[in-house]
Amino acid sequence: MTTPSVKLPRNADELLRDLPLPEPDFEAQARAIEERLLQGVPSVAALSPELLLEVPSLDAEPGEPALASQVRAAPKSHFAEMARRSVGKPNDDAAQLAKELLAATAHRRRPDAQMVARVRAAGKGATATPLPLSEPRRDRHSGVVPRADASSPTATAGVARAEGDKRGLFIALAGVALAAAAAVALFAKSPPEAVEGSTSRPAVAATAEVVPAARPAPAPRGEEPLTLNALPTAVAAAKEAPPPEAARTPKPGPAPARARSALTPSSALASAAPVRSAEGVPATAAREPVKGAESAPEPALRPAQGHSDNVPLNPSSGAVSTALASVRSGVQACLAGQTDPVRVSVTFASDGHVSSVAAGGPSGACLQAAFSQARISPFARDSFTATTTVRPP
Amino acid sequence: MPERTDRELVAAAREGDAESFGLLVRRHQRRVYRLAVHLLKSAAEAEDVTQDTFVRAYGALDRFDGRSEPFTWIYRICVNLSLNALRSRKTRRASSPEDPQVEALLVDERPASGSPQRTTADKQLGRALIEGIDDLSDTLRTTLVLVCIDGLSHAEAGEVLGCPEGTIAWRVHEARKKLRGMLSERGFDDEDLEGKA
Repeated sequence: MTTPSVKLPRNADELLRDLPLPEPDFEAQARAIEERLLQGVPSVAALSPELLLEVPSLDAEPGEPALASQVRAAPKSHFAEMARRSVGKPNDDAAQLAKELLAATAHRRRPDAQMVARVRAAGKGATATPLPLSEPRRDRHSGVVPRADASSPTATAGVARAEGDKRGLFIALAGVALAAAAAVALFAKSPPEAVEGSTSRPAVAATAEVVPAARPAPAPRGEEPLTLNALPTAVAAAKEAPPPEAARTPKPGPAPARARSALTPSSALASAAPVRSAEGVPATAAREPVKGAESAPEPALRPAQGHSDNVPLNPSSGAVSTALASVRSGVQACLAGQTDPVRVSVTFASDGHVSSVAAGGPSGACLQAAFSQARISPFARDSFTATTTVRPP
Repeated sequence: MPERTDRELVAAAREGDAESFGLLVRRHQRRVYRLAVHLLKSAAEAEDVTQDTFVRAYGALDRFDGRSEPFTWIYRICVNLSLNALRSRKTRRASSPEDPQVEALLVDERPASGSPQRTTADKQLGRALIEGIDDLSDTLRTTLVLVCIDGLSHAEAGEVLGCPEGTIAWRVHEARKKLRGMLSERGFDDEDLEGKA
């Protein structure tokens, strides 16, 4: 049987357009219509208007596409969805990949080969997303994707050497040794006054704990002695960072010792995280050698707008109560001789000082002066208003 | 004097000018009748539906909002009346020698571009086409008649049937595909016709 196609046999289309039909006397028919019109046309209401003017009620064919209006209609989205989309607008492949992997995990679906290939190509599987256990045995090294095709040759070499169960131990030992070498080299080349006066040295040492992790092999052999010039440039940016504990040590000796004591693989990662540059941006660039020197640096994490590290958005109610209670005696003195309580609104500025006091009555000025002595800790919002009722003593 | 447009005729008829509406009838009654015949397969019923179409259109002139062409509006009334007549039948009328299309085809002696042999082949193909169209669903048949037989554009057919052009295109494609299959089952294909030509 011939497969049906849209093309009709030859001259079938011509026949369709010119199918012969019996033709009545159209003029007579037209006159008949005019006669009917002259006799009077029944009202439209009696003729069921929907029959005349509505869309012909033809059943949709099986497989017929939906109405274009339904297809083209923009999906209605609420503000939360719009906000979510705006956040995801950069369309970072890594973010997209993470979403797909999350979706796959949520649906208990094994990521397909393409997704696995993308993870490997991105070189982020080792740090972010382990592959599922359904992957072949060779890919199941502690749930971490092998970084064989990572762009950094040093990283590739390090991973290639660290195999089997000894891999983690080897890396840890190499990291300890290299960090120690870095610390020794650092303090050996630095003038003593700089060590004492600078707050950046411990930060360098702390950063150096991380750097060797990318190059576990060369350090023990001493082929690449670590120098200040060899340190990542991000270390320089970290010089302005607040001094960690080791920085407050007046003598140069204990600093390497403390650094050594912290040199475990986990502490190395942990020590890298809190190091921040002068702008308050985490010095994530210092960790870049771990991921591969040629990969683009990840965007630095920044604190949310309006929040500093230790400043809460709002003052705690306890702090406000304490501050108001601290001026209670002076406040109540303002109401001496009165019988009615007074309701007062105290507004704190973000630095913790009282910016305004709203109190009515004859004792308003006194109350303003009394409440203005209250202090709370700084907070992120522009202002915070607390309302309290003051009763006469 | 330039020929008045359909819209002008409708406007005049709305003002009570019956002669203008008569002109509109004479301008479109042939096409309306052909549409009704193809849908109803009955010359008598098609004549009734044609008359009814214009009478009811005249009665509903004040409801014509002018957003569409008058002839698509009239076509819609004709399609609705024809479908109503079809559904009021007890049984579906199969194609038969009494089918006005088949009758006309059999008595059609118009000179074809080819030889008498070609004319015979055309009649055979025409009959197969009529039977194939009859086998289509109301939806596909109505769309095919409007587009492939009456020559309406997809947009015009969409306006008559109240659906998007894309839907019309899909229906035409589907109808032609089925028609092609039916013709192939009856032994009509390109090679066969080329051999007879």
